[in-house]
Amino acid sequence: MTAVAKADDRQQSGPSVGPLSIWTVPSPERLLWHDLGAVAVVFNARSGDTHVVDPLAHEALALLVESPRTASALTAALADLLEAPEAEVGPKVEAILTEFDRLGLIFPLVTVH
Amino acid sequence: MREDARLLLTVLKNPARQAGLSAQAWSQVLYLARACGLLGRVAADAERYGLLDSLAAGVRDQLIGARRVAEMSRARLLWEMDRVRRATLGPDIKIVLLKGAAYVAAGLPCAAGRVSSDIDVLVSRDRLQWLEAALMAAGWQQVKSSDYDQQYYRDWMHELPPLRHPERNAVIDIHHTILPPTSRYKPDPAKLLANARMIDERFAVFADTDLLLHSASHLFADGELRGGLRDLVDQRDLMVEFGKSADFWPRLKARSEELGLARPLAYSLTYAHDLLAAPVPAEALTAARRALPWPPPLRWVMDWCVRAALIPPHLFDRAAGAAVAGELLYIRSHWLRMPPLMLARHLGVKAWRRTLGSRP
Amino acid sequence: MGRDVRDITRSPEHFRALRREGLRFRVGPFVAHVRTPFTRLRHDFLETYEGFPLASEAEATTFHLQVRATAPLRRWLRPKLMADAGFAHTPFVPLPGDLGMLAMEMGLNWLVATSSDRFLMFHAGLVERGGKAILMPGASGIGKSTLTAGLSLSGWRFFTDEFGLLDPDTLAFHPHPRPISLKNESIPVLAERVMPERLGRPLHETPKGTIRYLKPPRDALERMADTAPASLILYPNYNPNAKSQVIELPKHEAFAMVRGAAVNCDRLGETAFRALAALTDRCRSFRLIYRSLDQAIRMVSDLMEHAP
Repeated sequence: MTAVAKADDRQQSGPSVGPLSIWTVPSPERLLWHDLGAVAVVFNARSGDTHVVDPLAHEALALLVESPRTASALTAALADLLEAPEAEVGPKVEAILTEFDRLGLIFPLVTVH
Repeated sequence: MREDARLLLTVLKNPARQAGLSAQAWSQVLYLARACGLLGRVAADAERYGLLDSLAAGVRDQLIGARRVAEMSRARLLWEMDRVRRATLGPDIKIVLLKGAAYVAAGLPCAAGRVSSDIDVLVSRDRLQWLEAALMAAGWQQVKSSDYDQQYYRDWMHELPPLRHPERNAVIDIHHTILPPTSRYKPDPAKLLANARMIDERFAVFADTDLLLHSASHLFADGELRGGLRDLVDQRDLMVEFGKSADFWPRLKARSEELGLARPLAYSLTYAHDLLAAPVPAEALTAARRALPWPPPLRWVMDWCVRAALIPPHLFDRAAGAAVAGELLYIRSHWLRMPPLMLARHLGVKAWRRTLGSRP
Repeated sequence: MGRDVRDITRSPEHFRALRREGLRFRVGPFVAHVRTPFTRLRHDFLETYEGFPLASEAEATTFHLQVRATAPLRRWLRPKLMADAGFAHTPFVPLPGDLGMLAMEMGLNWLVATSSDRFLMFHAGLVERGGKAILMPGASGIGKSTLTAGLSLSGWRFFTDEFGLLDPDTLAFHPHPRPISLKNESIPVLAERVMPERLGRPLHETPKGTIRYLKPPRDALERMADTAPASLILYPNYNPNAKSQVIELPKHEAFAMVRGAAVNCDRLGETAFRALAALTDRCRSFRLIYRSLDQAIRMVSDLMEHAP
């Protein structure tokens, strides 16, 4: 079981993609959520992994399920929800996306390199 | 033939016969199927024929468990494909999926209940370094650690030393041809690659004839054959599936000759037909068997070896014969793979290391 | 259960059968078929497994296991034996001839652990009272077996000290009443509570120190087909120097802990996730720190009354 949203500098899951890359959640119907109060756990039936997800990461994933977005579009949407400045949310979103990508929860639709 | 082997072959040939098995027969079938890596297959058959609910609880429990393991194996293969896809974003390079991964990706019937531990892929030789580097940049690591192992693989094998992803504990074998360069059979990988069929923007699978020829050459020229009944079941299923189109058998024969694999194919057709009732047309069987040049005495020995080694003995019924047949075929398959001096050296190093206990 | 079912007895007939065709007996949802040529092991086995129901003709075998000599000559010169399930890649190691029971038990444990994916399997002790089961996960050596044994001698029905078998469809636990493996300091603690004939002879100098196998209680064997849902999850922690206390775990911790105890949860995937989520919803989870066995038994009884 892995904890999401504590991004570290572990290995990338593949070639890094440009900031214009659109992130999508493949087969969101194969993500099973279970609410545990302070946090939620999600089972990814594609990977067989279970992840602990804090509220911000949960929201970010929900937004990407709603519609695929670039990092900056996701930052804008989250900043709007949290009523926080984008400059503050941006780095968090970057870290979350890196971790989601590493765990295979999201996949880049467009690669610009 | 042994009673347990006969029972297992019966339900593999005709899954509906599972319904009539006694508890005692099931004890034998379940044990042997597990030993052959076919328990998931027997479970998939039971499900497909709607038999699961009618079986005794103890039998059903084992089949449900085996079905879960097979489902998980399938999910893991698909997930490793996804991770390889992510790790290789970009260049337009064809990666051919082999064996289990190919059957799953192509949706072939032999994928049902099949358990694979590793994922096998093939790329053209000039793309090997690129693929290895891409995977290692994405976290895969070398498994074979000693210099000797590394050198052995790179010099004598048809694949790179296996790579493992430490977080997922999944192993990938990257091949550039389907048999070792030292094998007496030398199918041209370029021909196999050329006919491979893309299934998405990254992955391909071999053409129908080549899927069968690969499995046959793996079992009858390259592998140890020990416990190889599972591969023969794959081959039987491929024959059933592809044999539905009338031109398959003549194309198969032509292709086997083009690739120089007529003899492994002859074994495959013979045993899949004899043991598993593969629907091979009589003329195709006769034609293929002309590739077996051996005079009768030698052929009989081979036949005995193959039949004994395909099906492992029962724990409580160990006949010395099966072990001997397995050893003979192990030696034979290595002899087919390597120059003679090489063989002694390789076996020697392995035995030496076992003695020292430095590796399992 | 009707008593027309035959049990394992300390008879010459079963002593012979162990060497020849083997004995097939039921342990909860499984049928084990075991065989061995070793005289001492056959004595030990019949003593410990006396009273287990023999499987009928109508039941298929789940596991085959033999304990055999490591090499033909070894058996006479310097007995060394090992478990053999007939499959490649088993982790069995050669043991001295005196430790046959250990080879047998470790072999059976391996078979249960690797081939029971019908169930979500917890590395845990399990007891039941009034139709409610308590799951007690824990690594070896923290008192799990001792507490399970102690409870089963104090009015609780013994399910297992090693494998909690959860049916993911019904969320009921299946008993798997095998001999309880008591180690080192826990041996005298339990020895004073049971009739001496219930304890097998001491096995010295095993990889885990001294081991004695405690026969499962009669009612555990007679009711080995009666399942029960869990209502409580406890993490026992024997510590004679700590203050005894009961600490409730928050939900997310409870989920992570019980998932960690589920041996085959990666093999069951989505089935396991759903069962773990349901189990965490249904059961409260506590860490139990105790200084003596009697104290722990009282604490568990209190918890069962107040946190149903």
